[in-house]
Order: sequence, then C-alpha cells, then structure tokens
Amino acid sequence: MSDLVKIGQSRRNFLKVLGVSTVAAGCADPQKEIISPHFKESSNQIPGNAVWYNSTCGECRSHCGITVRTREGRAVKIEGNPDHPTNKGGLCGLGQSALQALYDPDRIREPLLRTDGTDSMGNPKVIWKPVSWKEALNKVASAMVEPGKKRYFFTGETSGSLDSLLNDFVKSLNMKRVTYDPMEAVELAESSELVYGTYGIPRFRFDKADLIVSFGADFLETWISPTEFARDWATRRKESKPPMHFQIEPRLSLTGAKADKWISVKPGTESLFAAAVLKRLTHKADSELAPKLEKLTNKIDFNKVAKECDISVSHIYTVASKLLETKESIVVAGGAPGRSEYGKSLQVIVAFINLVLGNVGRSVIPSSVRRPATSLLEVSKSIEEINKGGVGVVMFHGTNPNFALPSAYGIKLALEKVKPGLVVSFSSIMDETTALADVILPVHHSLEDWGDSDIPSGGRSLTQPTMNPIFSTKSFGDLLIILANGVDKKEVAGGKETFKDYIQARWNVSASDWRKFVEAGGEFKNTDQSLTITTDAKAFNIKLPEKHGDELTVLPFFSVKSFDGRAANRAWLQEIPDPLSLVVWDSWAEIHPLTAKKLSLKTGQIAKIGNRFGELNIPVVVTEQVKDGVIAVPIGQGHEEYGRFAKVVKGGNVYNLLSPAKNGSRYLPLTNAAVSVDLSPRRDKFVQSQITEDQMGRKIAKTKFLNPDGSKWVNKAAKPYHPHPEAAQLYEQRKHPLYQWGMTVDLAACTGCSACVVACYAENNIPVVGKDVAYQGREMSWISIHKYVEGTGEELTVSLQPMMCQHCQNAPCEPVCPVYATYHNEDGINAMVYNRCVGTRYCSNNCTYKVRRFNWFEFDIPETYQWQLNPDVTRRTVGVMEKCTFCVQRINEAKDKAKDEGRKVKDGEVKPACVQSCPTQALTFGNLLDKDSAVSKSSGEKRAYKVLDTYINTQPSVSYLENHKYKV
Amino acid sequence: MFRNFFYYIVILVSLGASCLFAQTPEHYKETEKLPLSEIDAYPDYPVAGKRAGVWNNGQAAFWDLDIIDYFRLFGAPERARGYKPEQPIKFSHVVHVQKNRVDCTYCHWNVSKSSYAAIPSVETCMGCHSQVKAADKPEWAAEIEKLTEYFNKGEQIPWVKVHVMPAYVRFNHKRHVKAGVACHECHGQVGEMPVVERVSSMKMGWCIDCHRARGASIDCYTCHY
Repeated sequence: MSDLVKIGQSRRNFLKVLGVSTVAAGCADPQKEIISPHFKESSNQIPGNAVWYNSTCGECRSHCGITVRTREGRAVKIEGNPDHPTNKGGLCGLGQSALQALYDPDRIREPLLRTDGTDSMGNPKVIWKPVSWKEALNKVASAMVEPGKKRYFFTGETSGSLDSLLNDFVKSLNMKRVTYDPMEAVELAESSELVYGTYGIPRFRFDKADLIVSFGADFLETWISPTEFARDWATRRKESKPPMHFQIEPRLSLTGAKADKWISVKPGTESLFAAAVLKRLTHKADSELAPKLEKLTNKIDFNKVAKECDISVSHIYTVASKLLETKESIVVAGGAPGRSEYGKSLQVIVAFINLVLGNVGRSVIPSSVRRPATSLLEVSKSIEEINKGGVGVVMFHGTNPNFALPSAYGIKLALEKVKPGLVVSFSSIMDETTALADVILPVHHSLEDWGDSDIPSGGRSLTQPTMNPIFSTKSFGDLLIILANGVDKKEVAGGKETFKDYIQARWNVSASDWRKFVEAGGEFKNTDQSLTITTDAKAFNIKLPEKHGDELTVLPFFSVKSFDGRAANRAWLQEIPDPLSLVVWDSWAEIHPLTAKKLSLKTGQIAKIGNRFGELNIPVVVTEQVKDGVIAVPIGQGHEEYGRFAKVVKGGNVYNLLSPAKNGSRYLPLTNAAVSVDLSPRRDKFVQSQITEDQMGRKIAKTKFLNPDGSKWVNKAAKPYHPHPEAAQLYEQRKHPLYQWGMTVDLAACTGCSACVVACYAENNIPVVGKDVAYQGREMSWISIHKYVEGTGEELTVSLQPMMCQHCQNAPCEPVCPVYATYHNEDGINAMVYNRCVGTRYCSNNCTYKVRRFNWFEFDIPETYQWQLNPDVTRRTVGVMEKCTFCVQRINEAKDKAKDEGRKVKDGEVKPACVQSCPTQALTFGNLLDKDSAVSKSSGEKRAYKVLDTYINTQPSVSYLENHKYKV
Repeated sequence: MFRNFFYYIVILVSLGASCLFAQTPEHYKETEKLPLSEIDAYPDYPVAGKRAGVWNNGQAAFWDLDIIDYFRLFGAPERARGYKPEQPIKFSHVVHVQKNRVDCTYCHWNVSKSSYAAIPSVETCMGCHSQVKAADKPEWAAEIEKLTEYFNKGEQIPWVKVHVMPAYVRFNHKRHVKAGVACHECHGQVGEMPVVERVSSMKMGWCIDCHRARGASIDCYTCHY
C-alpha cells in the first residue's frame, strides 16, 4: 500500500494553476512563484474562470450526456448534462470518475514495443521500449497487409460513427471483428427479437409503471442505463403512493434494497419463477397467444417451482395477482443473477409477461437503436482459430478478454501462438490483454477525443475533446484512418483525413447546425418507432431448468464500485465503501450466516473459494442479504495489471471460477460455478466503513411502512413511540439577513449509488487515503452513505442514508473550538476555516453526526491526479480539520454572478456537487428563507424530519424525508 | 515576579537587537542601475511616492512597522513589504504607465472579468513591440530583444509573482474593481516603480480594516475556503 498513497514530507504541494501552468504555491511558507501567462490570448478562456464543454460519457454503453468543467485548459469536474434526454443532469460514480482514467498515473504515454529482456536476477522479463508513432504505425501496417494470413479485431461494443468506421475498416482489410462486452445484455436483445420481432435492447420506462417486478435486474446500479432508469424510477418513488416493487434475486442488490419485497430465490431458478407467474397470467393473453403460452407453461407445477426456487409458493401467487390487478406495470430481468444458463429463457418469458400485460409500447418499448454485437461464441471460435496458427495480426480495443473471460478459454496461450504475427493493443491503460501485446498504440481518453453515439430515445449524442491530450496519444478513430490510408484503403474513411471530419461528414448537417450540436452535446429529438409485434415460433421453444443441485455456488455480481472490472483503476471508486457490504479497497464474498456457520467462517476472515478452474482468496462478509448456499462475489477486482489502484486489491479474479459457456451462448453464464470453501492461509486487513448496522432505536434513518392502498401501516405489536416534544430555545435564534442555505435528502429516492460521494471527492480535493489509513477509521469523505438494517431474512429493511455535515443552527462543534476556526456564518453555514484550525479535534469529538474529518497526514497525490484538483478549493494541510462546506465555492461563485447582475441568488442557481450529481434528484439545495424555493417546500413536507434534532436540539439545516415501503 | 520581569526585559532587548542587526534580505538591495534615470518623474505626471494612496499605508495596524515586519525579519520574505524580485525582463512600469500613459487595464484586461488579474500574454506585449522595436529604443534594446526572442521561440515569459498570497486565500480582483477599489489602494503607485515591489504586506488585518471601513463582508468564508 505504501506506493499507493505516500504520506508526504514536503509541506505543500498544492498546484495552483494560473495561466497555462505554474509552479507550486506555498501555504504557510510561500516560495518564489512563477506565473506563466498565456502565450496567445485565448478567445474563450479567461484565467480564473471555468469553461464548460458538453460532451458524452464514454464509460459505459448508456452514453449519458456530460458537461465538463475545465480550468485553464484542464478538465477538473464532470457533471451530467441537464439537457441530455438520457440522464437529464445526473451522473453515476463511474462517469464522474472518468477523470481518474484520464489522469491515471499509470497511463501509457507513448507507443510501446515489446522487447524481451532480463531483470537483475537474470530472469526473462518484458521490457517496453518507447518508440515513435511512425515506427509503431509502420510495424502495424506491414503486419496488416501480410498476404494469406488471418486477421482479428477484438473490440468492445461501439456505437455511431466509430461502429461504422470499424466495420468498414475490418471489411476492407479482410479482418474478422469480434465484439465482447461482459456487461452487454445480448440475451435481452435476442429475446426481444424472438418475442417482439425487433433485435436490440428495448427502452424501459420506469416512470410509466405502477408495479415493478425485476428478476435480478439491478436497474438502479449497473443494468443497461442505470442513471436514466434511476431518474425515471425516482420520479414515481417520491409520490405518496409509490409504485410497488418486487425484486427477485438470490443476493440483495441496491435495487433490491430499495424494493418493497425482496424474494430470494436460488440462483438460476428465476426463469422457473417467471414461468410460474406467466402461467397465472396466460388467460389475459389474446386468443392467438394464449394456447401457445398455456402449452409453454403446462408442465409448471407451482409447488415444485417453489421448492426448486426455495421460496414459499405464496410469493408466486402474490407477484402474479399484483400483476393482474395493476393496470400499468413493468417486468424486467437481467443483471448478473439473470445471466444463468437459462438467461435467455428468462428473458423470453419476461417478454411474454410484458406482452400479455400490455406493457409493450408503454413501459417496454422495443427498439433497434442499441444492437449488441457481443458474442462469446465468436470469441471462442476465434480463439480456436488463432490457436491453429497462421495469424497475421490480432488487434484489441475497448475489451479486456484476458481478464473478463474465464482462464479456461485460454486466450493467453492463444496469443502466444500468434508469432511471427503481431498482437496490437489500442489502449492507453496497461490491462491484462494489453500486457500480452507486441505493440501498444495508446489512444485518447473519451474526454480528449471526438465521437458520437445513438440515443435510444432518438437523436444523436456527440463527444468532443474537452482539453488537449496530455500525453502523446492519438484518437482511435484517427488511427484507424491513418492505418487504412497507409495501406491504400482510402475508401474506408471516404477520403477523410481525421475522425472528426468523418463524423461531421456522416452527420451531414450544415456548419451552423454542427456548431449548435457541438455546443449542446448532441442532437436531441424524440422519435417514436412504429411498433409491429411479430413473435417468432422459436420463442415458444425454450428450455427451463429442471433439477438444481444443492452444492455451494458462487454468484458473481456487478457492483457500483467496479462494474465489470473497468472501474477498478479509479482510486475514488476503490475508496468509497460498497453501499451494502461496506467494504473498502477489497474484493469480498457475501455468505449467509447459516452457510458461514457450516463452513465456520466469520466476517473478516479470508476464505479460499475454489474449484477445478481457479481459486479466490478473499475476505468474508457474513450477511443475511444473500441466499443460503450462495457465495456472492463482486466482479472486477483482483487485477494482475490495470494500474496501481487495481493491482493493490488482491485475492483473485472471480471470472476464473466460471466454466465456459455451453450451447453457443453469446454471453457468459455467471451462476453455474460450484465451489468449495475453506479458510485461506492469506492474511490481510479487512476494512468496513461501519462497525454496526443497528440504529439502536434512535430513528436516524426512518422508514414509513405503507399498506398496499397507500395508507400508513401501524405496527400494533411495537411499543408506542413517544417523540420528544419540540425543544424550547434558551438563546436568541440566529438571524440570517439574506440567505439561509439548507438541504433536503429524500430517503425514498436515494438509491445509495454513491455518485454524490464521488462528486464530493472530485469537487473538494478530498484525499484518497488507502486501505491502511481507512483501517484506522481515518477516511476523509465529507459525505458518506450510511447503512442501517432492521429485521431479518426476507423481511429485511435496509436504509441507506447520505450523511454529511448537517450545518446545525445549534452546532455542538462551534462552542468547543478554542480558536474560532469553526463558527456559524450569516448564511447559515457551519463554516470551517482551515488556516485558523490548530487541530485540537474537540469539534470532531463533539460532533453528533461524526462528519468531521481530520488530516492526520498530508497525502502525496500522484502528479497526474494533481492536475484534476479543483483550483477553487484549498488543499488542506496536515493537522487541520475539514468537513462539508455546502460547496461554499459554488455559493460564492453564484453570489458573485448575482452581484454583477444586481440581484439575489436565484433558486436552483447553486447546486453543491452532491446535489448536482444525484441521478434521482434525491437531494435539494437552496435558500430556506425563500418560502417559494424547492428546498423550503420539500423541508415542509409531511415526511420531513431532522436527524436526532428532537433529542439534542442541534437544529440541523439538512432535513431528511423518510423512506417509505409497502408492507407486503 | 521580579525574575519574570527580568526575562521580559532580556527578550525585548534581544528582539530589538535582532531587528537592528538583521541582515537585509537580498532583494531589498538596489539591484542594478537602470539604464534610464526614469525614477525622475515625467514633467506632467503627478509623482506622489510609491506608497501614496495605499490603504492604511500598507499596515495591518499602527504597530505594523517595516522595522519589525515579521516576514522581513523571520521568513517568507516574499510576503514582506518591499519584496522586489528580479524579473526575467526588466520591464519598467515607469516607461509604460508614467511616460506612455498606458492604462492598467489595457494589459491587465482580465481584472474586471475574473478573480485573477492575469499577466498579459506575450502576444499582447508584441502587439505594441512589433512597432516599438529594439532599434528604436537603444537604451532598452537588450530588454526588447529578450521579449522578441521569447515571442519567436513561442515561449511563455516566466514572470516572478510579486504579490504572493498563501494558498488558502481566495482573492477576487473582479469584485474589488467593481466595488470601486482603485488599483493603487493595494498595489501602490506602480507607475513610479522601475521594478514592481510589494508596498503592502497584505496581512489579514489590513484586508479586514478596509472591509470594515467600507462595510464589506468580514465573514471568514468570503476569502477562506
């Protein structure tokens, strides 16, 4: 860990950027400082003022719109684009952490050539030799045209112009394109073709449903387009009578935690459950479909299904009857649990359920915009072919099969047989596949590059460079064009020299329109596709699981911390605790208490989880949030390459436990690996961000239970709860002349996705401390997601609560400060003045909410990460207390603007980073003195309460709106 | 009691002595004789002295005298009054402001637009100096040639910052200019400085004094966050 975050010796290394670049400024001891002004006056850049660029996020396939804040030519913050139809302003943690991929200290900075050398002990070792672009490209071009050789191009999922350019490129060069993205829901697209007659991932409208049934689809976290879905879901969830939500999955996901009912089935049996539900619904189908569906489900026996799924049969009846009595509903399936061997069957059944219930065209809209090309079948065939030899060149871009495929596929061995051919990787991060390449051509990050993609709701989204490339990298599109032109295949790019020209030509719009679209971040319009539903006969011929074994199985799942592994090299995402398991800087295995008892394992012990394919050595989290007999492990940790922040997490890659796909499946089934578990000899620290998940009866995160009709459910068995009477105030209340800033947090809408936490890290220059320091409980996050659990088994109620400084009117921290470093200002903010602080930590001891963070060390930030620091926020030195400031730099900026225009700050003008980033708009910020402001209205709602206020009279400025949940 | 009093006397005397014998830092010494005797005013320019018009004479309080200036005596000389670093080009504000009457905001045009006042770009300098060439000004030929060289090489000029502030201070030029604070109230009569020097230590007391007098905010969060 020592190489991860070094505790600095130098007093200050805050990089204050003025002009184009400067030398560091001193804090306590200023030193001679150099100002380098612009060489050339820039038309749109005024030093000290931010410039914003609209672009498109390139982190996953949902392609959310982003707005990038740049200061003096460097991207410092990514926010969601409020005008973009997909995400409408919110952005997930992964999208925001794209900055850390851009400024990754381990980025490849120039073309590299593999040479074999030896280390100091004389052992063979790969030495990467930097070469010029010309030399590298010449080498690749000559390998590309070698006659009589096979050529492969492995890519991730692409969209828009890049997709068409790539297809033309591989076609004209006689290459074979193989696409593989482990997260892409190909089985969903296939089922859509079978049942609706449209190949492609349908659009889901969670705002158009009064009942949500999800078979494993974690649509609030990682599934398909989580930011969009979370937003839609939250608009309805905030209502007083929210849609009912059933989540059927073996491991409680964040989405499950927000559901009204979690039904934990055995992994791989979701399709049986769905088929049983369909059986109860067949009579609603039209006369043509009904007999076919009856035939499909005639073998279903409810009791047998319940036994096979290991649930009570009443669950099937409840879900089915709710579906029957609700007019508008949505049924989805997918995610990691939905990706069993029978994943496609599950999707087909779910598609039928939607069809029968009339959801198709309303909440489920078949669409052909997003057409997945991922095919594991093609991948395995290609690997076989490569193994046979005679390969000229194998190229990789945007995919990492050496990590994301089980080792049983043998891609590593296959690539060794490519010689004398060439393995080329277009990647600027040394991942597991790139490490096997002969030539590495580093490409731009999407924040430095042009690009475009299609938006499912209609229109096109545009990616534009937000800054000059920081290293000697090139645009991937440009490289394809250069390579094609270099081997006299000018027709590939239609005579265009750059990828930007190629995109512009493909968009085919006038110059003024183009400028408009570049400014807006795309061309947004709503196009309704006409619907004709044609069901293929093959759809009725699906296979359902029969007998399920009782052995221990491992259930890999996609998590908001690592996704499929692509996010493992981001320090922020490694540092934030997983909202449900609370684990920091680690991979982990969730095990049910009964299983843990059988295996005699405890939380924190490191277990050896293995089968004939591989082995994991990861710590155990004993929790009831997983089915008995299932070991849930997050996908994406245990990298051997992929940069320092990914490599620091040891324990192994869960993909290696899985067996290869059978029967020509286009995706990798995730739930079929039987394992044995033992205590591991490995010893390591294990860090969880919370000691207890119990509220101790203090009503910190409140949940209101609702009857199915929306009225309040009263627990008659519980002891009557007598709230404290409102406290009488002894002292005169504070006066706020103009503003009193306040916030509300809607716990019903908060999904715990931790986007706000990442936003806060990015905005406020919060240091990443690493595992060792986090182990001592010295993490620095100003806002964190607290988790509380009540009840047991399937009756679990999980409360996720963002907790930041409450900016109390009677703040306990203020009177104890001996040096007046923390005080209450006239805007109602509990201010913290770093340069006054002497580090007594009395305030932290006296803080009721434990939100103050002390700088025990001064952390050395890798140089490249320093370029991301927000120049408007001071980097704190050692010995100084810090905490949430309500993003006072943004408040001051808004006040500054308002003063220029001679007015007061308008409602909604100031949005702290957390509020801005929230995909569900669970957070509201504004002036409490203004009775018409959004925050005044929501803090006056019936659900509003203040944490611990009635006990200790702290009078927080932050109100929480209690969560609500049906009692089903 | 008496003993304590004795110690106080000793401390005071030694402090006083250290003030008297403290070495004058390097940059206070007169560097090099400048080519023009332009310290003499141009006939119609009202010369008032470098510190004329500076708020409170650059003092945080009445006792904040040059002779006992903490920064001058004990460190961070960059923050002391009189800090006068040598610049890569001997740019003279006397010539530009006093003689040629160039307005401050002609070069520092940013000052009312952003929190930074920003040094002009090399291109801005060359805007005039493509006309005013080294050959035209023999006494300044060397300096103008340096500038041309930077321009031809496409390099930025590494100016040395004179008004160095700690990193935890957020000063907004725009707000001050718009509130009608004149440049010289903080920076002194720059037009009378052949080499720009710091005429105020810019201590917090000095800022607060002006903020109080003018009814501006004295909330810590105005400048420290």
